[in-house]
Amino acid sequence: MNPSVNTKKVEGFGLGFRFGLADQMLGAERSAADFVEIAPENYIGVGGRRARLIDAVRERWPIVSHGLCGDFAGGMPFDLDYMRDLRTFLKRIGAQWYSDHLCFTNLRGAEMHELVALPFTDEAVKRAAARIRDVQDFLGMPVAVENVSAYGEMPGAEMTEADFVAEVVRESGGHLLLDVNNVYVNSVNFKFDPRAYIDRLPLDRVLEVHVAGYFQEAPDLLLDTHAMPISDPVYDLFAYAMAKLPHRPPVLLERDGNFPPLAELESELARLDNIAEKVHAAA
Amino acid sequence: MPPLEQLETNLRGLVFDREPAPVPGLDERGRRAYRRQVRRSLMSGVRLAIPIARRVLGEDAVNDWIERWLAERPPTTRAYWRLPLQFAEWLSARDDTPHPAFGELVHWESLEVDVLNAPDDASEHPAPDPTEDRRLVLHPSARLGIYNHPVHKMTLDDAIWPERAPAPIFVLAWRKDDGLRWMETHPQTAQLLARAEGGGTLGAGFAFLDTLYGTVDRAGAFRGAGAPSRSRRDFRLFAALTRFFPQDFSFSFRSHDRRRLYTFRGPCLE
Ligand SMILES: [Fe+2]
Repeated sequence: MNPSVNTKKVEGFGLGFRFGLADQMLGAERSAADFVEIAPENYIGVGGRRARLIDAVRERWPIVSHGLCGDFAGGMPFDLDYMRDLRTFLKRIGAQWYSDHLCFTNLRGAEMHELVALPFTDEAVKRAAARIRDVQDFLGMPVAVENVSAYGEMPGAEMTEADFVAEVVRESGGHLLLDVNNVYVNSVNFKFDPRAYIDRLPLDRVLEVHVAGYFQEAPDLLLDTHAMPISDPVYDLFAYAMAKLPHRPPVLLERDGNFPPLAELESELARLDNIAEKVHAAA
Repeated sequence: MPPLEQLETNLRGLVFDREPAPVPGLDERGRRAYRRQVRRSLMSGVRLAIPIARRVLGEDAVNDWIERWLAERPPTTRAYWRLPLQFAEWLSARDDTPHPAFGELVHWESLEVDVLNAPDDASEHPAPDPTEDRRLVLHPSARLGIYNHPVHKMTLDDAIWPERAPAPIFVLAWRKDDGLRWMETHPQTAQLLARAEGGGTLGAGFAFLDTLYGTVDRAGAFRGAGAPSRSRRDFRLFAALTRFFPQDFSFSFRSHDRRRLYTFRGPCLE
């Protein structure tokens, strides 16, 4: 009735656990994933099949928890009731850290279930840093913020995106979840050098790395759909990031739709592993 | 208003209002992409849960109602699966829908999502003792729907608006084997269940039945009482209580693809 929690350290190469992959992942005898990532909002306070899925997952893999509605820089007050539920849930699944996105997810009370870019301003840095500190204190575990894909530049920018992300991480004392695909997507959407962007980040604070596939909507607009295989330029940027990182954080492949056979995702994981190995050997 | 707050207000108008509000300083590509992405995400969260309503009313009309909801009362839930419930709640209060059964159907289809995701019954219940005046507890997945139209009998293959029923229909829904089960229940049973939800006790429940049916044999009410699931004391209690309405005791379920209806009528009480 009370399944055990897998307490293995989160390291290596993991997969996002999604309902569309659940049967394949849980049904496979062996798993190429060293850990899995789940979205807590999909499970908090939920019973039935979903609750059983999460029990099966926590027995098999170490888990990291990746929020979707954190709204770190939003204007809503700290939601104590929700944070209590979240803390209880994270404890139950043995989550080793908590991450969410550095963006708007709620606009003055309205939940968007989508990630909307922040303005790169000092005001936003301060708001996000304060909230991240509060969340980290309340949850009592490491908290990381993820750089997001963006489709428009918000008005009033006082710094570049990379400096904004770096400032928030430094001022909050939190960690960075470096999404390599998001860096690449934005470098196309806003025409900047993705390597220079990575160079600006506090790489010693990277707790986890994300990789995913994008969808090319127009020559100058990539959408972060997580529904395609990883593209070659993202593999290249991943190699660059791996070479620059002073340590080897766990790497997660995000696939949220258009699910292929598990073997395809496993070969993507193997390719990432290969790249990391090569970079490591060369260093 | 500080710039960040002003931006939040502008963005909210951009993504939620019927006509996109301006966001000074955000380019056309960004305005279009964010409005589309947010609305796509929220609308598909609702649409997925209401296939029968979409079939009977048509995609465009349903989209239009979801868009009105977004503009008038944007969602407040962090749980994606709760979006259809918030839409249904808003729709239930409207009296200007294209068909009087539309709000009821959306409520019923959303109720399924609610039932399937409701918390598990974590408590280990001892066998019910009919002489003990314990508090009535419903299974956490049990929900009551009250409809003027038999929307709970609609399927994808039979998606036409039903006639208004001669009297309100009380539908008790619950989860079993990861599926939705329901039964039409007697108004008085529904009333009793509503009392149970409000913290009523078994004794009060029996007293209520006594006023309706004269003094009942309380021990006999439990003898041999079967239930949809033996492991769920709450339904044993319920089955025992519904023993007084034997005509109620059949339950129905719908196939996963929402195409077929099955009804189970069992001699489960004796
Ligand atoms: Fe990511």
